[in-house]
Amino acid sequence: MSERDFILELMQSTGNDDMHYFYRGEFTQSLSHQILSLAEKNIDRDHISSKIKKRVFHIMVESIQNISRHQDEPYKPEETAIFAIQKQSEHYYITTGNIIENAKTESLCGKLDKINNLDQEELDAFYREVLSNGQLSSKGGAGLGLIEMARKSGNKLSYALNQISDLMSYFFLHTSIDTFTLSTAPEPPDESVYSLNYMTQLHKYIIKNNILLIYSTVFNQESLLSLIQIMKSQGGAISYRKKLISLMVEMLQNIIHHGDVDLGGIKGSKGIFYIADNNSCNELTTINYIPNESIQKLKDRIDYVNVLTDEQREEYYNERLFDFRMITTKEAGLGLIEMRIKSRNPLEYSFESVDSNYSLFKFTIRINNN
Amino acid sequence: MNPLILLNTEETPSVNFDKEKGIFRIAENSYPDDARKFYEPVLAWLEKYFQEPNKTTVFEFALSYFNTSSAKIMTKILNLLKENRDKTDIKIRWCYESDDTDMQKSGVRYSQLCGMDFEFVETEI
Repeated sequence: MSERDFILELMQSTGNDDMHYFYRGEFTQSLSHQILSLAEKNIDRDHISSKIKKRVFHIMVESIQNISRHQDEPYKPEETAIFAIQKQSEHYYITTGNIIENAKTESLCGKLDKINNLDQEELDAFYREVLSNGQLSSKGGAGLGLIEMARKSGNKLSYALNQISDLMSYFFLHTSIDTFTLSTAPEPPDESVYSLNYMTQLHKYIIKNNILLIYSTVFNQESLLSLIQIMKSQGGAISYRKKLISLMVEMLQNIIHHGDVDLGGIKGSKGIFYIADNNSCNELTTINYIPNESIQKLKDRIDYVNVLTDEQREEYYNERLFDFRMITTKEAGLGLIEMRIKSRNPLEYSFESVDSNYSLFKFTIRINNN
Repeated sequence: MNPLILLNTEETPSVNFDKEKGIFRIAENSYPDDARKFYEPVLAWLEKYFQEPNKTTVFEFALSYFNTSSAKIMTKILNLLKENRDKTDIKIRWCYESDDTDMQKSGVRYSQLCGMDFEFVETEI
């Protein structure tokens, strides 16, 4: 049996106005800010009340602050913090993960169990009680943040623990916010991509594949701009980051321009973008749908760009740059050759048939980071 | 002639064309979804300017990012500058942030392609 493809499952589950955003890494202030703004833009597209928007936002802020408080160690990959926000029609799902000392898990789980057993009124009372009596720990919490999250979400705070050593465990926290009704939503079934169970498995998968960021949505220029801001707030050498961003722009604008296929109900270009960090190189990958009749042409183009010598490539690029007969936004060829030149590696691709009309097009650019 | 001043957005560059002050500058980011549409008034302004240009024209590119559809527009602008070089003394300044070898390279490429010398300026970030 082949390995379960979590990435593809995420993408396939993405409907109109839905999104999955997943980030693993260091949470700096400016990055946190950009993640919030990405989610905020998505939320703004929805016709939901500003009260609900504020709730979603508030929970995200609490979650991200929680993670950034607990990341003061030099981490191994399996210890790095994660933040995920997902949206499925009327529900938002927020998941965070961070390491915690085993010595602290009992008290934390105790707090969560207590919070989960209280109704809204009792939560309010508990909140006031902790606010007046609670001693603030050096990390700034006395469970207040958790109580706040439970109050704002109106749903349970589910959690999971994975012991990773004698000293440490990995702690997942998961909650949902319903945008139209304030009644408690049923928890997503374990096999759903929105469940805590799914997220813990996805976490294993992304560690194994060194994935740092996943974004699945119906792409448009706006979602691209949000991603650019997130990429800009990452650390590392500026010239290298700029290269990654330029390549990402080309990849996603390709999806926006060519990936708009009629998938029954989906309006726009559904796709997924993710970044993996494999020590010596970064890999940018996109997956999107493409009409079967376009496969051969696209294949020929990529193969052509790949087999050219450096010199021929330069010549071809210059030719394209000065060819004004085909100056359209659907400019073909120039983007591919630009990606090939900038990445200095062959462009990788594969197609997987979906049905008699469409296939999935997976496209990867590898960039050596030196 | 009225100056053309466009403030930058997340996806489009700042444009500062001022005949009286002798400023011709495009800066920041350029990755609009539809580059042609954005640059239409920019190219129109330049065409009009070249009907009666200043004695010298120092044109400054100071872009931080641009996508391939903007790359084609840069070619158009450079062609326009080249076509009018007997009417005005044209100097092209290509600014790139220090370390940004991709941007530097693309300046070298443009300079070779349009057969005009560029002044390369490395700027601090």
